Amino acid sequence: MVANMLMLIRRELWEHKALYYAPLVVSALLIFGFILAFFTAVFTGASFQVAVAGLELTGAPGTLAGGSALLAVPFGLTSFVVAVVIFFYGIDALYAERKDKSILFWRSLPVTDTETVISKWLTAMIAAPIMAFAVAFVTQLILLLLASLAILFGGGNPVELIWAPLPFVQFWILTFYIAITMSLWLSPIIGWFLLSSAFAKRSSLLWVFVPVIVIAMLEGIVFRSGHVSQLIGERIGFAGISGLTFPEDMMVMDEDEVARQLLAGDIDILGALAPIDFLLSPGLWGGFIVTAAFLAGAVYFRRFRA
Amino acid sequence: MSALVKATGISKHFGAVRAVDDVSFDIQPGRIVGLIGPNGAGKTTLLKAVLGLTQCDGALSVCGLDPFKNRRELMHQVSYVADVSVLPSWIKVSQLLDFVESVHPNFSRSSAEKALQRTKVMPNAKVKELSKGMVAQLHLSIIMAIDAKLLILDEPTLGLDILFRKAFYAELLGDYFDEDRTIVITTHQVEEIENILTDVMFIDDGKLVLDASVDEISERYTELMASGDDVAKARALGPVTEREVFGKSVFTFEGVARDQLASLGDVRTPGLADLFVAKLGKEGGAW
Repeated sequence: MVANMLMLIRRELWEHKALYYAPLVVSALLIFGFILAFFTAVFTGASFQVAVAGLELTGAPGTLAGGSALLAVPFGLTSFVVAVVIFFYGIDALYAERKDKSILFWRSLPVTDTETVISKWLTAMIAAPIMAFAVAFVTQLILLLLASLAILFGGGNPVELIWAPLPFVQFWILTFYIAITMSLWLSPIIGWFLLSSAFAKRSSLLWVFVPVIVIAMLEGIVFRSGHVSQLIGERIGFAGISGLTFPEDMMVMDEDEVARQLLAGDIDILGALAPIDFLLSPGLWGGFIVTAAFLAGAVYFRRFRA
Repeated sequence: MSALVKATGISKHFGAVRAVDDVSFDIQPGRIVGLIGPNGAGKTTLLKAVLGLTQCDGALSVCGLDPFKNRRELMHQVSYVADVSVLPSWIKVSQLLDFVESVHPNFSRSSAEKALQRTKVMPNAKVKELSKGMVAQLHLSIIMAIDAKLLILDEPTLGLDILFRKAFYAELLGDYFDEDRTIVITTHQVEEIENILTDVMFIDDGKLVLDASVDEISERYTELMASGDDVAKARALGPVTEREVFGKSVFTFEGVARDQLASLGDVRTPGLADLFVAKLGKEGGAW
């Protein structure tokens, strides 16, 4: 059962390579940009400047500042990129197999429609975020090593400048926790993508947006209210998510600000994690109920829309 | 032995169209059944019902299971090819084998690999890099490496060249088939399969017009080639059909003793294609 599910998820990753290629490309760009800046700084003796996709470090190689960005930027960037990839994955997951007729082959094997739909949901919810996190983690390590080298060449002490002050373990626990909680929070959105892709006859991209827009507009016209759009907006904006006891403004993940405060020791990171609150929050379970309804719909359409 | 497939009063409607109309039949283990009918006769709908891909009215049991409700269990015992061009193009041959091996307890990877070694399909190739024939070989190699009680082949050789088709049916009969296995085949090229069939089902307009073993058919149907005065005598015996071939008259008789006909000309068992025309050209239902 578990082995079957793991194989189904592997199958998804074979088909949708972008789920891990995209974070890897981000990682490669960051590392490449950093190496370029590193060589420039060391060989020209100029001050150290890196500005790659939001990663900004300045200073002479020996007195590098802003090391916390080395932690925050890979995580922030890969999260963003993988979120975009997951969107396209979700709307394609149950649509492409009908379009290329491979569903006829998949359904000739002893795998139920429910198992297939759940495997696709788990791929988007768990597998993709964990892979993105792993890539971000390795990227952070490589960047930290490169930064240490740059500082060494500049005559500075990397332990003093980077390794001692940065709260690595706490940061990794925090980011991993954020990745998982955010993903679980967005579960109904993933469920909706899968339902749209199972239902769509032509363009699944259209079916993701049009029904939502139509329903929200009808609600506005008929009831003069905007609960639907408000609900969706709150979900996507992570409003009301309880899982961290940080100030509200930090939940939108302004990495630089979070990192600055972390570095300054202003925040008790591990004390801020509130997994019990998160697991007991109505917002999470309401989301799961909606997810279950969407996934059941997706199973239904996969089964009957042959 | 109890029937592997037992269908009683199966019907499937699409709006006002009766794709399958009150069909009843049994398929016993160890048979090779040809399901033959024109396009739109209901062959595919009937097979879909047997495979649990569509719901239908009436009582249907396959390997003792309700095919629609117990699809997963059914797919352990039944394998099928709905179409030989539906393997996903992005997958690698080795990945495909990994996947089927993992999800199908009755799949023998080694026998699939053995079958593939006889082809030009390389384990590292992606399906999209293979020719149409190679994709079909790959698909059929996988399906035939599944130890299934019932194998259903819906137009398995569609669009493939004659050499491949011959080789495929030879392998099906030689290596795959044994008395514990049952095969149901549909095809347009009736001539290619008529030598391997043990049973024949004709379907037309959603109705079963013939359901008989090949032995029963040769007992019941006779083709007579007659000329001259014998033509009139033959007509008097009430043939099902009559046609002209090279100036001679060819009659198909149903239920007329072969000895009686032998005196009027050359007799033989009619080919399935001719029998098909004979049955479908005639008024009246199944016998």
